[in-house]
Amino acid sequence: MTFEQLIAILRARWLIALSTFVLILGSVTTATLLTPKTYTASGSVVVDIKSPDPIAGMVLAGVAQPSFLMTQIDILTSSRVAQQVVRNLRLAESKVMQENWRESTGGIGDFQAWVAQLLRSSLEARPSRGSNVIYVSYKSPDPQFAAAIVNGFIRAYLETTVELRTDPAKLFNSQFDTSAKELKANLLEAQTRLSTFQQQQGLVINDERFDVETARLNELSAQLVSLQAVAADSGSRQAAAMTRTDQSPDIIANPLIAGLKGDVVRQEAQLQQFRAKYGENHPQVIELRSNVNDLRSKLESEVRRVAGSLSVSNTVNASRVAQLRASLEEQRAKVLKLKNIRDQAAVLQREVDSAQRALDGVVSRLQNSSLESMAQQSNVVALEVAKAPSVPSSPRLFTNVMLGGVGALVAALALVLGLELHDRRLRTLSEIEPVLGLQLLGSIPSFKKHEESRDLPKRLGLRRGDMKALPNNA
Amino acid sequence: MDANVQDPSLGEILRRTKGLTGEQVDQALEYQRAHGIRFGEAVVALGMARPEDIIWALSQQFHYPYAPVSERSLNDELVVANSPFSENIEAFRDLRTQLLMGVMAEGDNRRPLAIVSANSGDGKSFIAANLAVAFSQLPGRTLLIDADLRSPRLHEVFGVEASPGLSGILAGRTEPNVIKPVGHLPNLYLLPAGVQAPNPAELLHRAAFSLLLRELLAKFDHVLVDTPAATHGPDARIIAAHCGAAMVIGRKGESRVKPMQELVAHLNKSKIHIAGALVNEY
Repeated sequence: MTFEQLIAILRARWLIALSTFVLILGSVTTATLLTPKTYTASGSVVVDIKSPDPIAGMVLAGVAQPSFLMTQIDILTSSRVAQQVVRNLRLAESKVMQENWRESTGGIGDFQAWVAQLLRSSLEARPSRGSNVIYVSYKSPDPQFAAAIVNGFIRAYLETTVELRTDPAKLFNSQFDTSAKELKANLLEAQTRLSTFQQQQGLVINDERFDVETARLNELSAQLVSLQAVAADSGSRQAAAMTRTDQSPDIIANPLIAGLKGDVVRQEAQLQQFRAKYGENHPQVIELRSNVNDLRSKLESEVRRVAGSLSVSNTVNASRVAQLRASLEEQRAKVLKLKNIRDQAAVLQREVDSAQRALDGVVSRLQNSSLESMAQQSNVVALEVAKAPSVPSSPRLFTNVMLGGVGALVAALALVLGLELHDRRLRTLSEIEPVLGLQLLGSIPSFKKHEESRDLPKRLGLRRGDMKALPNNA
Repeated sequence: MDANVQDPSLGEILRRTKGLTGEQVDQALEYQRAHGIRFGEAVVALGMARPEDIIWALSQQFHYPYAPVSERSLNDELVVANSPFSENIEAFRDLRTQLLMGVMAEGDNRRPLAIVSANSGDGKSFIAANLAVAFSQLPGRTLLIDADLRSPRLHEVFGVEASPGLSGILAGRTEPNVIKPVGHLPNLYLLPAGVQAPNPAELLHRAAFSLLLRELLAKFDHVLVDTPAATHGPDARIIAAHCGAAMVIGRKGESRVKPMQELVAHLNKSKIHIAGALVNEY
């Protein structure tokens, strides 16, 4: 099918094509003109997602989800909002509506719900792409009514969103109230227990006091350790002095004993000399001998004394150790008792603290919810108020006529081509060879107009001249 | 002007046909000498004849026969004879040339040409008649046979008696004067269809038709055969088969393609030399 053929077919079947085109376009236009006019009023609300909630002071997590906007649209188109509109605009009072209701339902069911359903059927709410604006539009034959309904819906929706926030807040409020009371009672009880315990123990335990006692205990134990060392030392010396008096360093180091020993040695040496010189019974020897014996007895008694003093000091040390140990034990018992009391008190104190914390949390939520329950504003704001439209939204005459024109054109073409397919005629010279497989000899033009060529007389130089009077000189 | 010995002078022809007197001829000659123009222009300038008459007279001088304008003695359909100088007529001359170069070439295998088409109303008779006139304006003799035994029209077109004609010959009757000359066109002869026969297909099947064609081909230089529409029966195919050459006609915007294709397929099957297809734009 070449373009040339198409043109030829259209030229041949122009009447059918034109009549089809005119018929379809005419019927479309007529139908468009005859259909009742519908007006669409539209308004919009913006759902404020980005800014933080005025009461909670932060962006709510659920708001950012894509389902949030759909939820809002569902709320807007819900029967609750529609019934609110019916109440606000007092549509239930109109006589016409009541008659319609009787006709359609026979007076069965809830009239107000029926009106609300009627409103919802022509209401359209759709989200704008990529933003948080919801467009609300309503179709009605009456432009004023359509605008009023859209505005009514926006208003009722705003009221409903506020209600949806405040109602649960009120409910929570009462819940929080009761639980706060309980928690307060708990706190009081815990505090009472703590103070009673403290009174019973008769002391106020604090960490400072405990630290002092502990330090004292440590000091005592340190003292005991050093004293025990001293006692051991003195014990060992005493033992040495008792067993080997002549070798004990304490006895040897005593100057008196040393002097006495020297004296003894000297006297004995003299005695030896006198013996040798005078014999045994010389008076001098006898004198000397008694001196030496005196000295020796003195020395012995001195040694005993020194050893005795060592044992005394040892005894003193031992008794001091015993005393210290007793006081240490006492101190240790005291500290343990203190620790025990302190732990019990700490348990009670913790009870008090946790009760306090629970109470604080509930109280802060209580304040929030009481604020919310009194809120008059949600995060939804009316953006555009609907105005009564001046141009009907449907039927769109221009669009319909254009579309009808295109459709009519297509239908006319299809019809003509279908007819041509059904009854194919010879249309163009170029068809001959492919269709018949014959060479084209040429074409004989139409001789409908009888036209005489003006070319030849011109070519032969013959023009119709004027009749001239000839001179009579024949 | 020098008049040829054989050919009559323009003044002579005008005097014979347009009724110019000798005085008028002399006047024209004098005028011609005085103004230094051609005789025809002088006659026209003096208002003794119209330019068309002069052209016709010239055509007579040049042996180019056509029907004089003033008389309109021939049917309007014969455009080649009535208005030979119209530009549209060139189409017929062109077609004539193509046929002479092709299927109707002079030689041993010269064949009569059957003019066939699928549907009635395609303009077979119109084209056959005018093509015959175009051939007749050549030297040699041209015969047009009206083999459309179903609804013959050519005798009306040329204004001759319908019978006796072809049907009589095929039926075996000896008919005198079946081939009829056509007025104003001295080289053209017509064999009309004759009496309406009830059995045209059977008549055409006879060998007599083939013999007749061969005999006529010996006597005439160009033989054209008009046929009934192929949708009316096998006549056209039979005639084409007898002739051995055919030209298919389709009418632009009217002819249905399917019957045409069938016709061509049949012609191809019977080994007929097809000159080609002609499109009638009427």
